[in-house]
Amino acid sequence: MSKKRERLEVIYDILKAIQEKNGKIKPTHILYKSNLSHQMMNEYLKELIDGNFVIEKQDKKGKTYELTQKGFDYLNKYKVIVEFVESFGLS
Amino acid sequence: MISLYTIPLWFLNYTIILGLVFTIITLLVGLYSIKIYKLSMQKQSKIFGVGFLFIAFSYFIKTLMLLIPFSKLHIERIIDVSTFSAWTSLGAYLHILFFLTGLITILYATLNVNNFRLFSLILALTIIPLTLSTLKLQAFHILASILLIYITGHYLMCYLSYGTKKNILVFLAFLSLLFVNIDLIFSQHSGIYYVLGDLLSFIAYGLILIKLILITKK
Repeated sequence: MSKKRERLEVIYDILKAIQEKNGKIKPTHILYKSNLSHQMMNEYLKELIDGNFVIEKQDKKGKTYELTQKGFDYLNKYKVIVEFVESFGLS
Repeated sequence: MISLYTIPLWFLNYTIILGLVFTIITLLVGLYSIKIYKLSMQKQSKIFGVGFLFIAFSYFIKTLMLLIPFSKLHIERIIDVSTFSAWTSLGAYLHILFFLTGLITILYATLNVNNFRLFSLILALTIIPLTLSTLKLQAFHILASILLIYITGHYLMCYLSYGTKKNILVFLAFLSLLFVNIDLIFSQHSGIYYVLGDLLSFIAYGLILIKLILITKK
């Protein structure tokens, strides 16, 4: 049960970190806030980009990540998601 | 030809209404589970939702199976026995097939593995004995009971391992469904088993609905 809970929590931590930086964050900040290894962070970010939770932008200063509407929805509904997943034994 | 349940005549209207209620509740759980998947990309939620949609479809077919021949009888005052028999047999087969597929899909979601071969193996090991059985209705409820023992066991283990009371209602709901299927093994002998089965099913889906309402209120 704890493994999937962690996955949902890690996603929440990453998205929350982006939200707290006004919806735009550098990867180093994500690494610091999410307490993940570099490889794990990249895997999660790829998953979040593929799932359309965040978008990656590249400018002169480097990469930044921004929340999409789906990312905001995840943060708003996080408690309901965890409650559903735990109640129906899906974690 | 498949043998059907013995349903007391006085209970016919009630079982049609209950069938519709079960269809709506399982449909709601299925759709909400898929909504959770869309919000979280959590694959188990999608699989679980698909399982409940299969069960919703199975109840819908069962209700139609009961409703259409009798409405036809009501309108035309006479009904061809062979047409009636063929219609109910087809409906019963489809109900059984979709219900078992739904249970297998829910069981697969609770196993928390990502292996389609395993899913297809469980499906084959369930459907093939059913197809070969001469007592299809009993075989259906025995197979459903076996699947429900594993599903109920999963919720019991969740409760015992993590001490969370969150899934106690879902555990009791699937336990009730297990009792329903054990009860329905004997449903050809007396109508009382069928009535008891429907009442227990009502408790089971009622508990699931209560849980769903509690979650959505968060």
